[in-house]
Amino acid sequence: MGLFASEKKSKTKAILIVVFVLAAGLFFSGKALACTSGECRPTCFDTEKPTGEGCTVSADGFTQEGSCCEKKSGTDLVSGKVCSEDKGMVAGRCYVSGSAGMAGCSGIGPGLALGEKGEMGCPSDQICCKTQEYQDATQGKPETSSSSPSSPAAAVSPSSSGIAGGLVPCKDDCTLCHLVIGFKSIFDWLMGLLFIATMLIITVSGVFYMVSTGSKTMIDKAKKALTYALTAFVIGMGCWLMINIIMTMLGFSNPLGGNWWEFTCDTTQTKGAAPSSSLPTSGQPAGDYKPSQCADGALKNAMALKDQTIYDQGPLRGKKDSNGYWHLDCSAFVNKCWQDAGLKSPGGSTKQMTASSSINNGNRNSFGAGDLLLVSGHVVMCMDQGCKQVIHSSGKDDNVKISNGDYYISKGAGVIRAADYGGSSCKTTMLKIFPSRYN
Amino acid sequence: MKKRYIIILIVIVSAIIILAAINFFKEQNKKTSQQTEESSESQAGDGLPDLPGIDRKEFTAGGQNSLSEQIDSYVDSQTESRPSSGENKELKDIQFKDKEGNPIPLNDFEKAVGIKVDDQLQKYLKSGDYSFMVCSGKDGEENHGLLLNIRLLSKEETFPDVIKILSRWEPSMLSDLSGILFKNASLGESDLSKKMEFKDGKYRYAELTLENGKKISLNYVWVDDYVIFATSLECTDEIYDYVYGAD
Repeated sequence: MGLFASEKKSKTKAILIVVFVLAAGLFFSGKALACTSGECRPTCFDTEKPTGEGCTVSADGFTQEGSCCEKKSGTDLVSGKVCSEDKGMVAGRCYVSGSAGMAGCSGIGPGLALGEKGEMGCPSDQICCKTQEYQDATQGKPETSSSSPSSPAAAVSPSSSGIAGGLVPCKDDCTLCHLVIGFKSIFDWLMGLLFIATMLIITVSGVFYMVSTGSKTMIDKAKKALTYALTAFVIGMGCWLMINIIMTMLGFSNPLGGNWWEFTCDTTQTKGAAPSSSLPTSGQPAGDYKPSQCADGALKNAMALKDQTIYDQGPLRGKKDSNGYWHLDCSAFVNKCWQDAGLKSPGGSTKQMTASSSINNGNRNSFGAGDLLLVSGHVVMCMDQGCKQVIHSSGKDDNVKISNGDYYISKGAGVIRAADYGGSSCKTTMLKIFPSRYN
Repeated sequence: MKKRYIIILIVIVSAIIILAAINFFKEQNKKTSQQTEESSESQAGDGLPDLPGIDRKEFTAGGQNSLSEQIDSYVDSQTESRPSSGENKELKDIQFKDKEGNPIPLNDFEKAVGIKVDDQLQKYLKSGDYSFMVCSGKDGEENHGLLLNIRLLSKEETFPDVIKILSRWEPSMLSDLSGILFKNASLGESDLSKKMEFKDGKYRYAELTLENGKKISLNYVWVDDYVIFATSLECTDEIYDYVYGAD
């Protein structure tokens, strides 16, 4: 009789477990289903994935692009080989599965950074890792050391240290943003641990039940273990659920789209943000492109206006059409997108923008999303690292459209870096579409 | 397990299921409303407004005559009705549509006007996105242009490829495009067989003296996503500025 009662209880528990797992599965699959169309994710391009949704930056060939990450194709900086699209590339190198965690020069030794081809006496078709002292020397400080020749497995740019792996993804250049990322990583790790531990204990308990052969001690142990595991899991998930319900009820939403618990913050302001009034120095090497919150916001604002015939009746520059509406011209368009992302205007007209010092160092991969390219009285905004595509207000189409960036790069465009105009007041609010559109 | 634990568990599970359902329907509603918004936006985007200095025109096929004859007479009417200098100087951007209002594919347009765009270049073009341009020049001058839109390139493609193709096309560019650019110049066989040497100036250009003593020039340039072909420096300038939308 007692054994029968025990079996009945076990059945009840088993049913409860199945129901619980099904409910949890339903919850997460419901979320995933709703997300497949992309509306609950950051605005990413076709080839990209939002970070955190199956895309691990620097770990599987993806490269950070603002709130998204993308598999880059291109030519490997060291071998000169074309990287295959399915594998992608990271920091100028073709991604090879399991290759030193894409540690590059930093994987060889501390303080090493990727040099240029032929630099420091390396063969002209090879790249060596350079020491911090060499970098200081080339920037005008006394030369104290020589190069560290090698053929790095992969390179990691200083900027990408902020998005590399680890719970707190930074070394000496930590910011408040890294602290937040650290907390989030710890939380993610604990949630993963909770799930794995629960599943493990449920399995072990099940095994105990099966091999107990009616032993009351073993059944009790299994029962206890199962109860504690489920209680811990329910408490853990319940806490999260309660916070989620409260946040949803309070109407807290992510201004960039997506869920309230997703966030973006700028990991690039390592030495303090550039003052909003300071302009980049002419000829200053741009270094690798650093995605920033402001640049990302500016591009999102621009994308929100794609394919639109836009006008504004305010004091913005533009052309007046036969109905008296003002169409934003190229400079008014980029200004609007920048300003609504919290960036300072580099000037109202392209002439004024051109007067700003360019950071074009000839390396197109050092320009990226949100940066402005200036050529012959026209200004466009980069959409990706390397500016393969740009977005701009076109005179011919009379609307905002995406074009190839090659033309602007080939013309040696002046480049204005979004992050240099951001200061500490970068916003992430989406641009509100103009009051009404032309129709 | 005590009864109340079971009740608590059932309540939590039910809450999760309800929340998941609400979440799912909320996202679905958002998706539907977004789609509605997008479709209304795309409708609203049709029809470009008139801007000063630009006369956007559309040829729509529909008469009894062949497409070739229709386009031919339309192009003639547009080039002849050009205002004399000083009066309402406007650059005309003429696009060609079929009866349904869809762009006439470039291949059909080529056949209709008797031109031939390089096969290699065609691979990089948006088929229906081209314009015949009439510049605001003096009467009696060949002041036309052709604007071809280059599609978005894939990651493997580069513009130097396009430039090489244009460069290779130079020897036959005049004879291939004369059907629309030098329609009224009455180029003879001997004119068309002359070798045109292109030089680098403000734009890539070539000049030719015809048998009848008249001088013609052909200019081309790649700007933004467009390749501009025009019959004078001034006309190229005008189309160039129009494409750029420079302020």
